[in-house]
Formats: sequence, structure tokens, C-alpha cells
Amino acid sequence: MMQSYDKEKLNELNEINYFSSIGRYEVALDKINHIMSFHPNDGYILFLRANCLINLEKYQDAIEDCKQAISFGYSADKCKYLLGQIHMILKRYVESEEYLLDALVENPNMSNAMATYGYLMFLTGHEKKAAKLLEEALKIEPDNETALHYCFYYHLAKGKHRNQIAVVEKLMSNSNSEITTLMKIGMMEYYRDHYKAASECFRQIFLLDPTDQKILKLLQRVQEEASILYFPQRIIAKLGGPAVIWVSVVITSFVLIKLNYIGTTLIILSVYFVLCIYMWLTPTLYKLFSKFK
Amino acid sequence: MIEQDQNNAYAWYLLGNEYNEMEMPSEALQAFSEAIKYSDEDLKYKVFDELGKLSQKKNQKVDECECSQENNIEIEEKEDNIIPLRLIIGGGNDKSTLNYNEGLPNISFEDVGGLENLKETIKMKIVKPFVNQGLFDKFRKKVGGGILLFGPPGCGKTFIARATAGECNASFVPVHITDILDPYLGVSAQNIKDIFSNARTKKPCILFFDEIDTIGYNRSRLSGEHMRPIIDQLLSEIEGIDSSTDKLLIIGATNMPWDVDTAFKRPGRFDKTIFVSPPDQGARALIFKLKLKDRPTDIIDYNMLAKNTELYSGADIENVVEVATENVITEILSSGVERLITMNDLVEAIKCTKPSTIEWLRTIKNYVKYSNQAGVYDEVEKFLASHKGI
Repeated sequence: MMQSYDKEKLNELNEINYFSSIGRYEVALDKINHIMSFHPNDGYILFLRANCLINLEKYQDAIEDCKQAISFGYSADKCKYLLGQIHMILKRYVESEEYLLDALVENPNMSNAMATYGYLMFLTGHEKKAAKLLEEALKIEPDNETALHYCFYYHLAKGKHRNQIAVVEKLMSNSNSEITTLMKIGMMEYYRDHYKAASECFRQIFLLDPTDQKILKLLQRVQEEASILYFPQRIIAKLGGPAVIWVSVVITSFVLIKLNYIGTTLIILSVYFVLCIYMWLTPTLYKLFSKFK
Repeated sequence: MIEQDQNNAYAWYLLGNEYNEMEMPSEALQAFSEAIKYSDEDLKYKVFDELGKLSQKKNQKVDECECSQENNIEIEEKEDNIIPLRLIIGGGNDKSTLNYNEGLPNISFEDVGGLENLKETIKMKIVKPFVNQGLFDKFRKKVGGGILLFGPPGCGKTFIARATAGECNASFVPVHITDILDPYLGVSAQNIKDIFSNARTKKPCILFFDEIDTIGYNRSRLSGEHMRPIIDQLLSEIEGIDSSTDKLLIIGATNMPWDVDTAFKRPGRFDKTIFVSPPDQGARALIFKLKLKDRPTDIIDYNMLAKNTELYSGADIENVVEVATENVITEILSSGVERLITMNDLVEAIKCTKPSTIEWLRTIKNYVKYSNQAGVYDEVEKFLASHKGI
């Protein structure tokens, strides 16, 4: 049960919530540990700590805190939903399903849990069930950020561009976080091979949070792929990938040899050989090019 | 007079003074509040002075009975219907204790080791305008304003800010997020207002916002709307929309400049941005000297130590000294033979420590690469160019 707090503790809880909301989870965790010494059996504080621990990627500790929070009487649906999320991150899909279903039994209108369960179904190959659950989650709460988030990734994977745009538009009007919407737009552009637009989106995200190494890597990768040096690779990818080109070259060469066009075959093989070397050297060339730039 | 003209600010001011002398603080505050509504700039300053005195008087009274009635103060205020000039308790701190130089050592740039370039920049950008107000008045140039200090953690931003206050001969008011945050709606914004009102009564004054990134967090990254009023209030106070900020200098310090809302960096707010780099060689030698002072040491080559601690922050150097001292104590305890801290102990301690600034410098390096179109981070670029290994 959530306990009653005096003014000082209320202030501390307010600070904890504030630092969590601005992504300073380590500071928040320090403050939680301090307040825990006065309220060791408080489910709410344990739940807050679990939230911080997830963001600090300390999943095992977060699981422990969630379980303890349930035993101390804090909202079971919230805790089980969080446990479901953690197990999904850890790719323990069976446990994740159990917890998410438990959360939905506790609170059938919990759109967060339903959308997460829907996405879990998608990850495990139950696409029809996933679509239904995501749709249901959005029916319960049309502006729910988590539901919109998973819907977007579902449509992205399915290549449904119009649906992606519709979700992004909804997110833009509902989400406070610029990073969330920029990320989606960036991903959308990236999968449509609009590398420059994607690169600009990721650049903006990086400027908002330069401590995020994942974004930096993504930005560098997109910039690399957008470079003129990678033009042949882009063409090859559009034609079906290196394997398709290899098979085509082998078949063409074989046919040309049969037809006695030896010279043409040699030219084709030479071009293919040069292309292979160029592709092998491209990352090094790109590094040199970037340094020079 | 007031019956004839309710908008007469001067009459309200006189009435406030009268109440003040008659020891009727509640009525005095109401009268001063009315005076502020209708007053011009000059009178406003006078009213703020009186309010400051009144607030101090009230705080003294509160302090006297604080031990016995600590938890009843707010209730009493409500019962008296007094405008709460004293800040409401929050974050475990009593905001009435916001420090106006009290208890702080009077430090100046002489106490800051090395960092000559930085000191010169601050002198030119902050101290000289502050102490040569006549010249600036003549050219109608605002003396106060905002300065943003940024740099890796542990490099002395807070110390520099204190030294700046000392150089300017101004009151120094440090403000932290915990002095502002309050769980009740609207109180946090009111706290900001009160902090600025109090600071204005103490002019010339330097308001120092430590970790400004937590107070002025980038609004486009906020996950909720609850912080917006606080940031908006801080922005309007810094810009001085409601009242002049002349002779009131606001220094913000952060090691995450990217998290500070861009609105704070616009002209009229934090219009000067200063990079506080890790200490240079001279500064490092001085810090070593300072940290080893009063400890039993052998002959120490401070310059050699400084040479071997490139990119170390002040806090890192302190850590080196602590590690060396610990090692010596451990050895003494195990061998039973007492000895001094030698150069070798310090060199060994340096070998097993790393500068904590590197991670920050790598982050800013990437940040500058993608964001320095406006040239705000030119100083950082220069620094990074001179340290190729980062």
C-alpha cells in the first residue's frame, strides 16, 4: 500500500519523479535509495526504483523490485506490466507473455499492456493476433503513446507507409517528446531509402541527447550509407543484393561462354571483380574521405 | 490620499512604511503589493528594498521560534494572511536560508589556481562591466544579465562563480533545483519569483544556478507538461520582463549544455557562454600543491606531476592525492615504519587513475561536430584541436 508521507518526503518524491522525467535516472536512484531507508516496505517507492533500474539497464534488480512491490501491495497491474516489458527486452518471451496476460487480467482496459502484448505477438510470429491487439489497444485509448509506438513499428515492419504516416501524425500531436517523433520520422525515411532526410532526423535527435551512443552510431551509419561512395552498394541493394548479382554474373558468364563470347565474358568478370574490390575497400575509403572532409 | 486616488503608488508606499513602523507586517505587505502595481521603476526599487527588509525582519522572527514551531510556520502564515515572502520549505532545505555570502569565504581570482585565460575572459566579460557601471550607463549598456559556464564535471565552475562574485564585490546567492521544486502546483514557479525578488533587494548580486540544465531543461525533451511553467517563469525572470535585472548578474553552470533549453541561450538571457576547460598545466601544479599542503611529503616536483596529469580535473587530482595517501597509510600500518608521501607514490597513484573528463570531452566532441554552426562552441573546438588524443 502507498504510505502517507510528510512534507519532506513528499518533496523528495517530487524530486525523484522530476529527475526521472528528465532522464537523470542515477540521481533519481540515489534519492530513491535515500528515501527507501525511511520507507523500506513501500511498494510505490520500489516501483519507482524498478522504473529507474530498467532505464539504467539493470534488469535483474528491476525484476526483484517489481516482485517486492507486488508483495507490499502496490498496484499489481502496473508491476506485472513492467515485468512483462523487462522480460520482452530480455527476449524471455514466455515469461513476458505470462506477465502481460496477468496484467490484462488485473486490468483489461490497460491499453499499454495490450499494445505491448500485441507487439510481443508480432515478435513471435503471430501477426494476425498482433494486428488485432494493437487495434484493440488503440480503440481503448486512441492517443496512448505506447500503443502508437508499437503500431508504428508494426507498420514499419509490414512496409505500410500510409499507416506509418498516420501514426506519426498522431504521435506528433500527442507526444511531448520531440525525440520520439523525430525517431519515427527518421526510421520511416531510412526504410524508404531517403538517407539524407533520415540522417537529418537522427542528427536532430543526437543534438537533443548527445550522450546516447546508439543514436550516434545510427547517425554515423546513415551518413555512411548516404555517401556518394556507397552509390554502387545502393544500386546493388535495389537490384536484390550481392547474392543476386553474383548468381546473375555466373549465369551470364556461363551463357556467354557457351555462345563463344569470350571477350565480353572477360570484360563482365573484370567489372565484377573490380566492383568486389571496390566494395571491400569502401569503408576504408569512406574513413579517408571523412577525414579529408 | 488613497481614498482620493487608489492608483497612487507613492501613497501606498508611504502607508506600507507606516504599517512597517507600527509592526503590522501583514498590512505593510498588502500596501507594498498595491504600491508595486502602480509604481514606476524608481519607486519599484524602493518598494523592493522595503520588502527585503520586511522579509528579513520576518525571517529573524521565524528563526527565533523555529526550534519550537518549525512545522507550524506555513500554517501561521496562512492564518495571518501574509503574502509568503519567505520561501516555502522544500527539498529538505529551508529557502529562507538561501545564502547571501553568509558563511562563504570571500574568495577572488587570486584563490583560483591557473586558468589565466578563463579569468581574463571573465574579467573582460563580467567583472569590468560590473565595476565600471558609470561607463556602461553612459553608453546605455545593461550591466547585469546572464552568463553560462559549461565544462566537464569537477573543473571548478562553482568555484569560479564564487570567485567572480568576490571580484565583483557582490552578494552571491547559490540556487539549486531542490530550492525550487515543490510538489504543490504553482509553488515551484512562485519559488523562482521569490528567489529573484530577494536577489533584487540585495543588489549588486550574483545569482548562481548550479546545474542549470536541471532547472532549465530542454522543453522539447520534457515528458510531461508540469515543468513548463517553471521554465517559463525562469526565462521571464532572467530576461527581466517584469522588472529590471540591472546589477543583478545570473550565472548558470552546467556540464550538460545540450540539455539547457535553447531559449536560455538567446540574447538577453544567458547571452555569454564560457567554456571552463580542465585545468591547464600551471593550474594542475597549483592544485597538487594545495591538496598536498599540510600532509607529510618528501620533495615533490609539482611540474612533473602536472605534466603527467593531462586532462585531469581538480576532483581527479584530489583523488590522486587521496589514493597516494591511502597507499602510504596502508604500507605504514603493515610495516610499522612511518614515512612521508614521496614523488613515487604520487606517480604510482596517477598510473592507476584516469581522467574523468575524457568521457565528457568525447561527448562534446561529437556534439560540436554536428552542432557548432553558430560558433557557440568555438572555444571547445580550439581546446579539442589542441588535444588530438581525445
